[in-house]
Amino acid sequence: MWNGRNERICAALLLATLAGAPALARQASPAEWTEGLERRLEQFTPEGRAPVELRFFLKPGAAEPSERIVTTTRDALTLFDDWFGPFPHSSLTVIDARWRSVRAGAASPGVVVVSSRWLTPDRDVALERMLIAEIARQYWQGLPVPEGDGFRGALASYAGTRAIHEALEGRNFATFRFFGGFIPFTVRSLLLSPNPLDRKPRLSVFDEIDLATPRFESAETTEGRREAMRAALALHTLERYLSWPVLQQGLQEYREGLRPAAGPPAVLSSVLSAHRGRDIGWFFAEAFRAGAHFDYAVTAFTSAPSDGASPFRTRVTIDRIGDGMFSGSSDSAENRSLSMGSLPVAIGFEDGSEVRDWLDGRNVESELVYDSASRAVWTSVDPEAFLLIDEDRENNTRTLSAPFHPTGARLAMHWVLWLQDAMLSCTGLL
Amino acid sequence: MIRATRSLADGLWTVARAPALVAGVLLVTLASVVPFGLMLGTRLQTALANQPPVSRGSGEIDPEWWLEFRAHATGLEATFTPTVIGFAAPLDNLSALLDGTPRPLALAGPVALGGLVWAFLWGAILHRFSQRRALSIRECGAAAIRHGPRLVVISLAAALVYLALYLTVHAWLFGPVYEWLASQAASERNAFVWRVGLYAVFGVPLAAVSLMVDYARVALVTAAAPSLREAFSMSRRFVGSHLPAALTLYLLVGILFVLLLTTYGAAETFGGTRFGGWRGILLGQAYIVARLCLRLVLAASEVRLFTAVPHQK
Repeated sequence: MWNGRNERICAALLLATLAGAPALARQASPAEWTEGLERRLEQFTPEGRAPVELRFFLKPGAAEPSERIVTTTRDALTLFDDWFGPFPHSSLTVIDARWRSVRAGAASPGVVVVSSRWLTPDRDVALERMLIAEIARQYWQGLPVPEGDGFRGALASYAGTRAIHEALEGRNFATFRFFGGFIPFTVRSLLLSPNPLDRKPRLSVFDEIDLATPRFESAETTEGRREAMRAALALHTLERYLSWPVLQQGLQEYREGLRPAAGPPAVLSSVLSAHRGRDIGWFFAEAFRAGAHFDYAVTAFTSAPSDGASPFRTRVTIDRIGDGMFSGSSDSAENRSLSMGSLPVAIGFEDGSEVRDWLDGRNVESELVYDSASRAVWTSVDPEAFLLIDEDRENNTRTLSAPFHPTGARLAMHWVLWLQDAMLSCTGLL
Repeated sequence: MIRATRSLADGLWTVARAPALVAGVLLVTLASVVPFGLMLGTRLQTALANQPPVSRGSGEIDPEWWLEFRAHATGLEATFTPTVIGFAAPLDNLSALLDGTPRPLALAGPVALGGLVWAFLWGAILHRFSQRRALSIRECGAAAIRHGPRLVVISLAAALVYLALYLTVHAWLFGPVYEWLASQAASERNAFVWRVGLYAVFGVPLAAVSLMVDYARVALVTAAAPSLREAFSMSRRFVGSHLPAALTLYLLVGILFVLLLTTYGAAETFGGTRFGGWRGILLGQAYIVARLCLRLVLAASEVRLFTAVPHQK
């Protein structure tokens, strides 16, 4: 039966088809963001500082996500206050926006917008990740950094990632959404924020950070975004190179120094150099240079019986493939011989012994030769993986006799199961 | 309803009495995926061996290493994402099927091989069910070779129809129609209800084609349809005249599949570490075996339903 309502629906569907659905999507103005939400007032009072008024606009009837938002906001503010000093505004408004009412991350100074999902199991901490990333942005986005938004975005991205690891350690699991993005499922075998005592590198980017990055940038180009992400990686590298306490104090001082007047990224370099007692301007000059490409690689590795005094001769060739240099000092090329090596290299032998060496990161090619009683089995440039800015870290290590990895076998079997299921799903219809 | 239930019971009983058939089908399907698994496994071992020393020695999955691996992954390796782990795998595949999510082109190879393998398997399986007795490997092989080529053509024809459905009906339903409905929805829950509704709408042509293809296969093998045209014609006549029974049977097996999926999901969600690691792989393989059994049950039940009525060629 056709009636007026059916005709209207059909006409709308036809219009949607012709005009493209996004054009019909409901777009709310900023004034509508808080419409229908429950207001809740709280106060954050850090020790010895002025209180920050917290205004929450939460979804009615969503007690659990609301509580998570309030708790996470407080935890994040406490963490950032401890790390970087006072919150830059006298108040913080957190809006848990309704479904599709606001463009994701449409935030401004002093206002954070997140959107809790209808189905959010306890193990899914995407909401917390988003909130922490946004609050980190509040700390850094107001800084008057004259050398572009990229550095500001990088600082916010780095701070957000680090805070996520700290706040969600041990419970930050990967959660994926299926069936149009509505149904979440948490993969518990994939812990994204492991124990910080583990020295291996942690994830330096989260989807939520990636989402947040372009929003505050004036240049939303792919290249600008890539530069911001690379600069964030440079900050992660700095943390591994200098240690967190040094970087944290430096960032706090840098931020306090910037409040009254503008300062370029070089200011951070000076602050950190003062803390460390050695100039690290060389790192800033290279790592934050637009278009710099870092890639060190083990290009040749042999360990063969030798006719000399030692039974084995091992040769390792390491190339600097990119134009970015991890020089380790600001010495000029003439004084190069006086400077220490900047990049560690490790070689492991069959008898379990290891040799550590250093090479000059400015060299385009370096060759290391060792005579040993045992055959070398692996070598690695940057074995501690502190140079996270290296764009291809898979070529940093070479192995002559690879041990069997049970984890690899287990993952391959999971993939076989997935493929079996995929083939059953596809051929089920055929 | 009674005929469908009876056919399903018969199908369940037939498959329960044919463990050798289940084992054979499992072995053949496993053999078709293991070479790809070995390829990926070798690549994973190399990538793990090339981890920096600081990252070695951990029994846990390192997400940072995974990201680095994915940055270099091409071809089939690109399908190695965290959603391959445990219950996320069937969710990922089912979701991709319903949402029409594009997959890496490299997956076309294994899927095409799977389609080919299943076309030949159907020849042996349907012959076994129509004979209602255990067959020797030689008899199974002969039936597979006799019917295989024409069953391949049926699968190809079905693939083309599905492709057309995805490019037209699915693209329209889950493009502008869904976007418009979601924009009108007051809440995320309402939008999901709309989406489920659209899944059901799209399921109708999918199920219709699937039924036609299933009974065309059955007609070809059990009623010795002389040609593909005749097989499709018999299938159309059968589905047309016995639609309630054919549809009920299809839905009943669908419900069994949902039950199986729920059991798997519940075991992994609430089983904790008891179903992690290697035990998780065993659980996953048990799920695959159960899924294979369900497919065989549907085939056996359809043969029973189809052969219970006389057919005019």
